[in-house]
Amino acid sequence: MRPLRLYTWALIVALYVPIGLIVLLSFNNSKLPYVWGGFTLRWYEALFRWEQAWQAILNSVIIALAVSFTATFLGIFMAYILRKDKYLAVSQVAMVMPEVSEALAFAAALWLVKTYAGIDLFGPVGVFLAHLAYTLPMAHVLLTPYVAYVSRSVVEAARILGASELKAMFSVVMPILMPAFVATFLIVFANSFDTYIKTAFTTSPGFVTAPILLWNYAARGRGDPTIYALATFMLIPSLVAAAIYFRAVKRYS
Amino acid sequence: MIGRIALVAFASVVVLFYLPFLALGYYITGGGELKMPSFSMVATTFLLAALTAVVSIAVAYPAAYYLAKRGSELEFALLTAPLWVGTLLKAYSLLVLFAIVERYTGVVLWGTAAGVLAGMVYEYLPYALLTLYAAIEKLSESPVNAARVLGASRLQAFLRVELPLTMPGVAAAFILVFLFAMGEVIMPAVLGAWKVYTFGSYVWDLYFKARDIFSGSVMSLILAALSLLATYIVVRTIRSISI
Repeated sequence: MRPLRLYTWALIVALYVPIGLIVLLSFNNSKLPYVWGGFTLRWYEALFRWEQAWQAILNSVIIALAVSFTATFLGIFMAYILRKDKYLAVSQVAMVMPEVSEALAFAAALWLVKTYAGIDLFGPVGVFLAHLAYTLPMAHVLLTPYVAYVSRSVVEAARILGASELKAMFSVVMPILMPAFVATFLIVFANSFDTYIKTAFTTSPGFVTAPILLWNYAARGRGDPTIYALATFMLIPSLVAAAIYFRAVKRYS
Repeated sequence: MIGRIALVAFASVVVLFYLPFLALGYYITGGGELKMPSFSMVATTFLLAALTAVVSIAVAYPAAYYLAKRGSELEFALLTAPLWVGTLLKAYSLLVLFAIVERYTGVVLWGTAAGVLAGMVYEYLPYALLTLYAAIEKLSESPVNAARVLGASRLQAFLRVELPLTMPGVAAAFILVFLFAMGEVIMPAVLGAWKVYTFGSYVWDLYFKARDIFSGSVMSLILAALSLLATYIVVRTIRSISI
């Protein structure tokens, strides 16, 4: 087991080297990635002055907040009521669908709405709906295992004591599921914040999110320290989500 | 009341997720000239996806084995946390790493199939790891103990008893990663510099560059159908493991 343990740790290190490198380089006082010019914060200053980046990060945060709140809130109801395999299968299939197919289908639907109903949804609304389309099934699937921790007798006791169905849901079921709710909220937030493909297919040129801004540089293979700072910023939701997720989920074991 | 909210939510999954696929059908019935992808592109996609799956499984297997047997929670968390980091961020950070590698060793990775492969393995490793972990964790110790008592060495017991028993998990991991890799867009675009052209990039270009929704719809429906088929096979194999 000893060599296997070393191997596992080597793999962990390898997984974090590329991400760590970006973070390190965002503090590098040199424009070249292979030259260490000392510690600096000037790329962050440049990022702070770059208005488009701020707008993009803000757009991403707003969309991700709206999406994760809606998806997780509705997801709890779905997970609590629709526990059967056949309902779950519908959501599971949605989770494994290839991203391009899904995004193109959504864009095609938006085109149809635009052509026949005359409503142009491309932009924030389209992005929100496209993100919701894949995060709702995700919240459903992620929350379902934890519903088993809500025992039937607790809910029944609340009902007998006079709570309405909805009241029992909000004051009994939801508090028990709170850690799972928080964990799922964070996963969905990080996911929506980082998603590029679905956003690209459904946005309008006027609505730029952080991944779109990053893509404009990444797809051309450009290295710019200000972009490293932007990428480091974009890592924050993922890392916070991962850290809190494992703590929240631990409560149930 | 809560049942009604759940149904509304479920209906929005169907409307938002599954209904748009009908829009693809609409564009297909509209007709047009089908631009078939070139054979070499399909071959590249298949090869890259298969290689990604094989390499991810080979790299992930020992770690998954260790995790299932002796792993701590921290190790598990550290190995699966990269799942929450976005693909584009991973691609971009590899791009920078490749630039540094090129500078110091002269090995060119950007714009090559090897670079794209490295990127896809980096991305899909946690998926392979989780699937393998689930399969290995379910193994009971008794077949191995029986083999050991009957005189097999540790290696023999692993190779001839445990490895064959985890093969369904390996197959499930293969199909899962293969499937995700087939539809991959970001890694070939960023790390392959559009020189390594895959099926995903083709669908992308049909929409964004050629503005050909008809061919794009056909291609995405094919991709979606393939993924449904593969998922069905995975679910079947996983179920057979638990029995």
